[in-house]
Amino acid sequence: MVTLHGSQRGARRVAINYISKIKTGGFNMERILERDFLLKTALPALIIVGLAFSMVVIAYGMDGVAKGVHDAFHDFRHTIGMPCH
Amino acid sequence: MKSRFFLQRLALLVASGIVWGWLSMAINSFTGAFTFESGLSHNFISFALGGVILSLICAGFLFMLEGRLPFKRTLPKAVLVSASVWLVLRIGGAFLSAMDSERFHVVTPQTLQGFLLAIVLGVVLGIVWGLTNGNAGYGRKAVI
Repeated sequence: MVTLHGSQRGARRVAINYISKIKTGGFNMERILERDFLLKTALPALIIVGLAFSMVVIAYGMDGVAKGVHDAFHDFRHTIGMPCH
Repeated sequence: MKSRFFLQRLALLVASGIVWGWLSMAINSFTGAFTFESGLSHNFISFALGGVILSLICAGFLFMLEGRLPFKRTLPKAVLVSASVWLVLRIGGAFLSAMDSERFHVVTPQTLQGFLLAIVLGVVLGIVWGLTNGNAGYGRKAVI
């Protein structure tokens, strides 16, 4: 076991900081798959895309995508000015 | 603190969507642009659901584009976003109408009413957004 003194301990600390920055920083899969990233960015984005798709289905009455959506939202579609039969 | 703020804003957005849906029902009954074919109880649910979905979509776009829109205040930003979302949907509807004119009829009074309702949604959204910004805990004041 080597005992570090003075500037040696400082140099060790700098080296450890540098290595930890390399490990955690930048664009890597670990960071992308972090729980925070999934909860704060990916999940809201997926929810918005899902809602936008459902709005398109409702607005155009796409019975092929969701059966019965045309009749269920018929009055709503006319009220918001979307073309219908 | 942040998750509490997020849930508070989400609850307000859902509530404002329901209110807007029912308000659009009332406005349509007043203008008579379209005569309702379904019953009142059915329409209460469908308008509330449609309002919530449209409100959340507009809020999502407002969240993403808030810093890039050419206004300082939240209200005109929200109006611009909701009117743009409605316009995109309406342009899609115009394409469908051009492709299948027997299936998709364009009715001008309903279109004008829809645009007006999109602006109303923007106003409601802007007020809710501005009010919740004041409670965000980030030192931001409510700027409606």
